[in-house]
Amino acid sequence: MPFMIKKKIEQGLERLALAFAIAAALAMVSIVVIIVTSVLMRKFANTPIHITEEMVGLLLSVSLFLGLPMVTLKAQHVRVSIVADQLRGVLGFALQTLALVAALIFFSWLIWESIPWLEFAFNRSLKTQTSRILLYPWMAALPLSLAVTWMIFAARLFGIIDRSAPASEFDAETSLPDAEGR
Amino acid sequence: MFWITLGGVLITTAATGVALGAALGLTGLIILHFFSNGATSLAVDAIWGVFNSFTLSAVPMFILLGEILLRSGISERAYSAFTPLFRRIPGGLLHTNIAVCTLFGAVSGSSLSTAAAVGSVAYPEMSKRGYDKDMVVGSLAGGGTLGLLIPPSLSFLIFGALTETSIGRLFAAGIIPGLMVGALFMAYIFVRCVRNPGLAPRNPASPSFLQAIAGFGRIWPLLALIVAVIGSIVGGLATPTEAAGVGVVLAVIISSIWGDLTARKLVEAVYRSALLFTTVGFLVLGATILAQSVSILGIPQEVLQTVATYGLSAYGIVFIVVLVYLVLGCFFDGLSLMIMTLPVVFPLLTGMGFDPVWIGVLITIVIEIGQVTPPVGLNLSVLSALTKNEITLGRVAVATVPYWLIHLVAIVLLTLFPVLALYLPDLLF
Repeated sequence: MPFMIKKKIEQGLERLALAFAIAAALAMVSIVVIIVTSVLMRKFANTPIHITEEMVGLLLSVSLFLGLPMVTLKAQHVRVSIVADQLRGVLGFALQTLALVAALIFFSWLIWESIPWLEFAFNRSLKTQTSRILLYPWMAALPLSLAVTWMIFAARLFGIIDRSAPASEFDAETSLPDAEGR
Repeated sequence: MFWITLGGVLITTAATGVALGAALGLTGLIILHFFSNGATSLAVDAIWGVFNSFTLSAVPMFILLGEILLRSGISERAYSAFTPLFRRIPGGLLHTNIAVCTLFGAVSGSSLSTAAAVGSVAYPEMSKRGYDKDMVVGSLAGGGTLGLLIPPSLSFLIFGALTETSIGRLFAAGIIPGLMVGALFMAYIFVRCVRNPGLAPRNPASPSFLQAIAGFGRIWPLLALIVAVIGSIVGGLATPTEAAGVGVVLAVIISSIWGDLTARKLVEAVYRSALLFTTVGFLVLGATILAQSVSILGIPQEVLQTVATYGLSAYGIVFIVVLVYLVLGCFFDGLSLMIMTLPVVFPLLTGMGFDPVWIGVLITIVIEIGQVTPPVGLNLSVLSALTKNEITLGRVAVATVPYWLIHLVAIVLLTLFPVLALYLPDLLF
């Protein structure tokens, strides 16, 4: 594959993952805002916000799903590295390939299952029980982020993204001190 | 056939080094497909059901709270506040490590963050003062594990959300065992340093009691925040999510006025928390699929019946469960281990008549041991990295053995005296 095209795909995936991660962070901030507002309203105005629990649940799901591409891009997933770290050369490459194939199978399977699930919610315009919030725009975050994550794994499998290291170009902007040591 | 598939697929996929959440999820999907008439569509429903949870939303809130405080420079302040307090006692700053780890446990909720944050301040300082380096890393690795037991604890939050156990009761239950383990660590350090004073050089300039207490004036806002957050949950005034959400806002205010929190650091904390939550959440996602596949087949009940036919006593089962966790702790990190085993272990132990809150504390202590068990023990890796590999992983592991044994003593005490965990929850709820 020509270098330029490879670079374009890499940059495209990095930008997409970054956009998703920022949205995930904003969802987290929204959770804080909703919870604090709800507590203040309940304590001081005696009028609890009835949408709090359902909104927080939806934002929590969205935050998790949208963070997935960036965590994958930066290879921050928890993994059992005891065997993988011992193998070098051809065997190490083969095991890494197997790991990427396993991840691709898992994500493909989940995307396959999530499309009819989303379609069902869309066709029936499913809403939350109490606050009647339309569900499918939130549910769409699952197949969407799974698809982007799948693309990142595929790009890594085919060598478009470096297999060993996190994508470098956006690291200066996105890489933060890692208190968890991962 | 089921167990061969479960073990075979899980071990094979996990050993490739794939994301553990994907390994767990793929195993679950294969079981659903081949053993439950292709009911794989249940997986997505299960994921959506688990993450649409108000209770689970406390997890990212506490991660965010910890990240904000960790970025506001409290490690240095807390360390210097505790330093004069233990100067006269044999062991000196080694006790400070344990005390600050206990305090950090009440902030971060994570074992690894605690070891990393306290270690980065303590190791250079104590090396400079001539402390025995193995004792230093041992105390930091051991002390770091308190982060999971002292509330707010990620372990309790996830355990509570997945098993529908009261998180307030779990938090209350962690206090006495957490302080007990911390006290046992300090007792061990004291005895070692009395027998071999060369391990921890004594400081001739001992501060007065008033000077020692005055140091706490520098960290009172942090102490007030911890008391407010944990107190409101344990006292039944707020749900864990509410307490953590309000705690986040208070932490931002306190850290901006009293600490070194800047707008950039705050943005970093939010961004980093979102990714950290996703890292933990993806594990929960995979385990949810596996749990769905296991529970739909009635596996926990089957295990329970099998155990009953062997006529093992309840304590015999606890012994086996602990043993299995200790072995698996060599290969999996603590939270992953808990998340992936809960679908079988929780119904098994509750079926034997054990209190869910007590089970939560027991499992948390056992997975703490996993954090300091080589070769995967993450606390060991992070401390070896902090010393720039001056102390190898093997040396850190050997230095941590006494703390490992103290955790085992804590498990024995907790099993003999369940009241250690259940006294406070029963008193408060």
